[in-house]
Amino acid sequence: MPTEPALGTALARLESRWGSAAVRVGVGADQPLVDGALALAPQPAGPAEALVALPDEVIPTGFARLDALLGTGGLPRGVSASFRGARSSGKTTLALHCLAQAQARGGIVAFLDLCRIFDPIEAVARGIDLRWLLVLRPADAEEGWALAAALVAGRQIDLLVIDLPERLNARGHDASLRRLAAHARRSSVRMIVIEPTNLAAPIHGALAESVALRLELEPRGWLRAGRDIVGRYVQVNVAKNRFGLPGRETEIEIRYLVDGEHAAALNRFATADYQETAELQPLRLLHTA
Amino acid sequence: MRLLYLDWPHLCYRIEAARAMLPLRGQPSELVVIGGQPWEEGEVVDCSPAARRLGVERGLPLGTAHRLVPEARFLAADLPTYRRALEVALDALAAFTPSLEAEPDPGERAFGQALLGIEGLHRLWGDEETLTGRVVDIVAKLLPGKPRIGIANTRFGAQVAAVIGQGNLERVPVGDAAVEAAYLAPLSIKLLPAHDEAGDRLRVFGLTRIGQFGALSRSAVIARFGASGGELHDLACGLDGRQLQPRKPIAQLRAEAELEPPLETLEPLRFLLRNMCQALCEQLNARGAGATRAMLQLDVERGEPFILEQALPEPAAAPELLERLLFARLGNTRMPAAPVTRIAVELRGEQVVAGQQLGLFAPQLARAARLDWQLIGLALRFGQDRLLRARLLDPEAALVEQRSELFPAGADSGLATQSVA
Repeated sequence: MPTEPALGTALARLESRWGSAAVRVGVGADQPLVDGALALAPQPAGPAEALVALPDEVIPTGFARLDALLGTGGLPRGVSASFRGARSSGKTTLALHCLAQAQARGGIVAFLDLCRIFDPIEAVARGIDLRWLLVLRPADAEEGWALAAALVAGRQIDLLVIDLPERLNARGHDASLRRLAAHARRSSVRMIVIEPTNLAAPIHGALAESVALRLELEPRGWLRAGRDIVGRYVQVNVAKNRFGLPGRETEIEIRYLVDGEHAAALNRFATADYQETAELQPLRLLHTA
Repeated sequence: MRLLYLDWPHLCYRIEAARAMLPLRGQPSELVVIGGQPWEEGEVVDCSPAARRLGVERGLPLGTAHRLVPEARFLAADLPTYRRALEVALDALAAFTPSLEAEPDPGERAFGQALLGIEGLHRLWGDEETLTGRVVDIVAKLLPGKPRIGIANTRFGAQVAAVIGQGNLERVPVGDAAVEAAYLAPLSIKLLPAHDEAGDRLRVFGLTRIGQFGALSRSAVIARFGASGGELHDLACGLDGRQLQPRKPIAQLRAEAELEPPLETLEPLRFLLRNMCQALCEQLNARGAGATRAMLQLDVERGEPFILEQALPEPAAAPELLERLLFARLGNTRMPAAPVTRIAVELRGEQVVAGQQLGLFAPQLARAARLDWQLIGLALRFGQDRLLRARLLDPEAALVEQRSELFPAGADSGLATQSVA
C-alpha cells in the first residue's frame, strides 16, 4: 500500500498509541479508507474482529463481560497488559482473577511484588492455588526487573503479574519495562502490570507503548445487598487493544469477600479438593528413558 | 516362618549412658530424659527406665516431662549418633540374612528393634541357639547392653517371647497357629497391644489371659471392639498376618580426598570436585539411578568442618551439573578463613531415574522439576529470600502475621539448607 511518509508516520504513531487494530486500511470500494477507533461511523464488531488472527491459548479475566469486550476472550499467550486505576479500583483483584484462571488451565504463575503488599489469604480467597504461585520480593525495582526477566526467560511460568508502586521514580525503569515486555513476548509469557494512576510519565509512556492491552478501571458506585455494601461497580475502559477495537467500555462487579465467602474459600482450599489432589498425585507414569 | 526378634529397650539412653561420664553408667535409678532442655520446644526421644517408671515416655513434651521428673537430667538428643550406631549393628546383622526388618529412625517408636527371618538358616549358621549366640556375640560389640531375644513363628509371638525371656533366649515351638496360640494362652492379656480403653474393657469383662480372649467368638469380639478388636483376636489365636518387610540399606555414595598441602583458594577445589562427582555419578549411572541430595564437606585447619547440602528437584547423575551447582553454592557462601585440608562429596537419596511419576490432576507437576531447577539457579544469583512461596498457617489467627507466611521457594522443593556441623 503506497502511503505518504507523513501519513505513515502518523499511522505508526496512532498504532503505537491505540494499538494495531485501531487503524485499518480498506481494500474495497464499499469499505471506508480508515475504520476502527478513528472511523466516523463505528463498524459492527463482528466482521472487524474476524480479521484478527486469534491466538489459540487465551486466559479469561474471570469477568465474562470484559472477556466479550476484548475480542479474543481474554489474554492471549505472549501478550502484555496493564490495568490502570486509582486505589481500590479493583485492578489487583482483576489481576488475581487472571492468575487464578491461568492456574486453572494448568499454568504456573508469578507475582512481582514491588509494593510488598501481597496477601496470600486474599489470593487464596480469589481462587489461587499457592502451590503454583511464586512471589518475587526483590530488594529494589532494578533487581526486580532482572529477576523477572530471568524467570520469564526460563519459560516455566505462564503469567507474570507486576505490581508497580506509586512512588517509582523514572530513572531507567521505563527502558527496563520495555525490555521485560519484549522478553515476555519472545518467551510467550503473559504479563500483567498493575499500574497506579500517579505513575511517573516516562514509565506510563513506556507501558502505554509496550503493552498490547490496556484497561483503565474507574469505580462507579457501591454494590449493595440490602443495607450492606458488598462490592463496587467498576467501569472498565479498553484504552488500547491490539486484538480488538479499543475505546469500548463495560461495567464489572468487584465483590468484596465477606467473612462467609472468605471462610468458605479458605475451607475449600484447605480441605477436600486440595488434599485430594495432593494425595492423588503419584498416579501417572512418565518413562523418560 | 521362623522369626528372631531382638529388642534393645531405651537404646538412645543406653548409647548416652555408654558414652557419658561414669556416674550415669550403671545406676538404674538415674533419672535421665533425652530430647532437650525443659524450656525448649520438643518432645522426649527416650528416657531412662527409672524415668519411665515415673510416667515419662517417648513423645511427651519436654515441659510435661520436667513436671513429672523435675530432678531428672535432661540431655539433648544426638539423633545422627543413635542412628549411626544402630545402622552399624544392622549392617552386621544383614550379614546373617537379608531378611532383616528394622527402623533406623530414632524418632520412631520401633527404634531399637530388629526382626530377622531365620527360616532355613540352620545349614549356614547352625541351629537356632547357635545362630542366636553368634548374633548376640556380634551385636554385643556394637550396641551397649544386652538385647531381649525371642524366636517364634509370627511377629507377635517373637515379641512376646522376647519379653518373657527377660534377656535370655525364649523360643516358641515350631508349628502352626494352634501351637502359637497354645504358647500364648496362659500369658497375661496385658501383652496384647491393645490401646488403653480396650485394655480396660477387657479387664472389666474379667479377661486376664490371652487364651480366654482367644476362646471368644471372633464375630462377637468385632461387634464389641470393632476391627481393632478383630486384629487383637487374631494375635491371640496365633494368627499374625504382618509380613516381614526387609529393610533397604541406605545408599550413600561418598568420595573423600585429603589435601596435602592444604588449599587456600577455591579454584583448585573445582578440579577435585569434578573428579569426585564424575566417579560417584559413574556408579549411579551404572545402576540406572540418580541422587536427590548432594553434600559437600570441607575440613579446615582451624575450626569446625564446613558442610553444604544441596537438594535436587529430581534424581540426577550428571557430574557437570553437580559440580557446577556445588561450586556455585560454595562461591556464594562465606567460607571459614582457613586452609582446606580435606574434601568429601556424598550423594544421597538414590532413586531410579528411568521412571518418574507425575500427577494426574495437577498439570503443573509436569513442569515442577524444571521450575525447581530454574529456581535453584535464580536463588544462587539473586539470593534465596528473593523467590518466595506462600502458605497458609492459621487464617483465623488474630494477628495478620500468623495467618500466612512467605518462605524461600526452594525450602520444600529443591533448594538446600546450609549448615555448619
